[in-house]
Amino acid sequence: MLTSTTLSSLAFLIVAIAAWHMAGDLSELGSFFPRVIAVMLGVFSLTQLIISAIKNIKEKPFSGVESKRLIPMIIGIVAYLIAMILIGFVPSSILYLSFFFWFLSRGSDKDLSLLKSVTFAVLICGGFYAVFYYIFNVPLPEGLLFDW
Amino acid sequence: MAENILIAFQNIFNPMSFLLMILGVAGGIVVGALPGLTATMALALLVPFTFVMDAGVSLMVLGGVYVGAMYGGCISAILVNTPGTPASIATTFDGYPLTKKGKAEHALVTAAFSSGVGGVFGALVLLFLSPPLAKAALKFGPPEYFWLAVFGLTIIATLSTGSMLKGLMGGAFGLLLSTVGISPIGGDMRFTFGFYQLQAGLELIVVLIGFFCIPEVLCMIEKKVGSQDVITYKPQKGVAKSVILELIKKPVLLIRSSIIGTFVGIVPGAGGNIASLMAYNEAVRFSKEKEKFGTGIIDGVAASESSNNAEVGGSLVPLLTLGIPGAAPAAVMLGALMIHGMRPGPELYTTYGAVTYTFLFSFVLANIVMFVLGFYGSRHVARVINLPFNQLAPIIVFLTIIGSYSIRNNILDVGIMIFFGLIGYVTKKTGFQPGPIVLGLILGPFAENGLVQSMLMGKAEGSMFQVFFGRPISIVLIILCLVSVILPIIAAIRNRKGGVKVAN
Repeated sequence: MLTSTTLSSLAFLIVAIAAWHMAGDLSELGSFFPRVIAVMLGVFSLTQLIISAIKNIKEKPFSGVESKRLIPMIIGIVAYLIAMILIGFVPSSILYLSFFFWFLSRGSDKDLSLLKSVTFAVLICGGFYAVFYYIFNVPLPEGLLFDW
Repeated sequence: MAENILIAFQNIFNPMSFLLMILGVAGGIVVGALPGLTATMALALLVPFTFVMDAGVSLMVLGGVYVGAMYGGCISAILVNTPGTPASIATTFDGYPLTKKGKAEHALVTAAFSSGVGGVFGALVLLFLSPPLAKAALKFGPPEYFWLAVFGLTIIATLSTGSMLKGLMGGAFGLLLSTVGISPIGGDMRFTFGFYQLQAGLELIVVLIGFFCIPEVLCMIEKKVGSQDVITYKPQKGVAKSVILELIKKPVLLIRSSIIGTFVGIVPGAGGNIASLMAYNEAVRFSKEKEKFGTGIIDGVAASESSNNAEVGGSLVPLLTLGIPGAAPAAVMLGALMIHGMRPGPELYTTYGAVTYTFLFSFVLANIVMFVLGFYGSRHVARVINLPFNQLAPIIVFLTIIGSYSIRNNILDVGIMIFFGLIGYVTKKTGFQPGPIVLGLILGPFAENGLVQSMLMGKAEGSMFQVFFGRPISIVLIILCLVSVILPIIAAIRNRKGGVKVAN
């Protein structure tokens, strides 16, 4: 039966095989250590696979997870990265923070209005941008479409 | 020498110099607390500004920043499970669980006190024992580095909660991640998938942020509204006093961790992250309450913080005596010395004696200032966690993005951080702890360099056995490795037998 441990062990086994295979193109010195590690990872993963097959433990790692909030958050983090590449750090951060301040507060005791969320987001983003840009001299990403 | 020491005290207690040093410590704490801004970066940014200062004052300020940043890293590690600097990785193991229990102030006071003890210990070692210790560190060759890395990896036994096999898989995965980039020996391009940005390898702090922070945020919001573990902080009277009294009763823990930190600092190349992990492991090994580690006890925080701050002093020992920086921030300090025309070596204690002793004594003082600032500031800093999770979670993601980008000003690092963050979440849900993975990533380069260079040495000398098993320091390290592996097994067997007896 496919459990989460079986699946993760399989994934690690595939990583080990791929690493072994890819290290084949390298020089002897460059490939030695990755191959040793690939063998170790492969052996551990295989042992884990065998143990989980014998024990047949039932696992429910994602039980109790509220996907209504988790999935938007995961998509939101990835979208934040894409938006940062396209429109730059400041606008993408304001968009991300505003939306999630509002979205995550829905149904909780401290419900934030969209206006409050945007204000809060602008203040945080502006503050950090100023600290990093002007004090630490760390330039934050500019977008491909606009220069912010 | 007496004259130099007198001048040093005059320099240190000059009001302006003293104020600048305090500002340096405070600035270092702020920088260290922000994920992504490291002590190295803070020092590198500050060096040009100290060019116009007197040599002694500039070293006082830089020393203050170094000490402050090393302590500051614990703040975000304790409050939001994100190590501000790689050196505070082991602080997350017990610091964050303490915060979850509503004991953030306990953790922060412990960190401030232990950092102060470790820092002063390291500084005193730097002051009195620099030359003999530097000679001992020079005896470390590739085989010793290899065994040191293997010894470090035995910590997996401590970090693996639940399944040792999963811990080993995680450790091996971390070691594999450490091979990304140009190979240190041979110069091959490994696992870069065509991204030139990966030629320098995976940036440690980026992966750390990914593995420790994103899973925490996702775990925070995955629960139903109202069912989250609400983390709050309420100031309590007498916490600081009681925590410090408790820590004073554990001098062995603090001194042992400080010795480990100082020694790891002296060994060139090993940094505060290795020091804190090793000290944490030893704290677990010698504790009578092993099972409590990782659940939120101050011993874990004390071990990690005293060692990583002691490492600061240690890392400056080979720098001042031999010109070999013990860690990356120490390398920047070397640059600062050179800007002022000073070259490491015996001359520092003779020709530039006044400046050197100014730096050494101010370094001890900077650690005391750091303790005072950390002690009084902790209750104010801890209020950050009172933010509701719906505001805290997006802010943490925002900080992780800034942190991972600002290391190398590289957008790919942000992508890597998110990628490992999502992997970290899935692996965490399936019983793989991030600790062993990160440990493998940290120790991988040491292990590889040591292993491959030792093999080359073995080929040249005609005896692999002699190179790996015939050197005195290597033998000591091998014995330590064996003890480290065998002891947990014996303890587990005893516990099992004890459990059977209790059941009977």
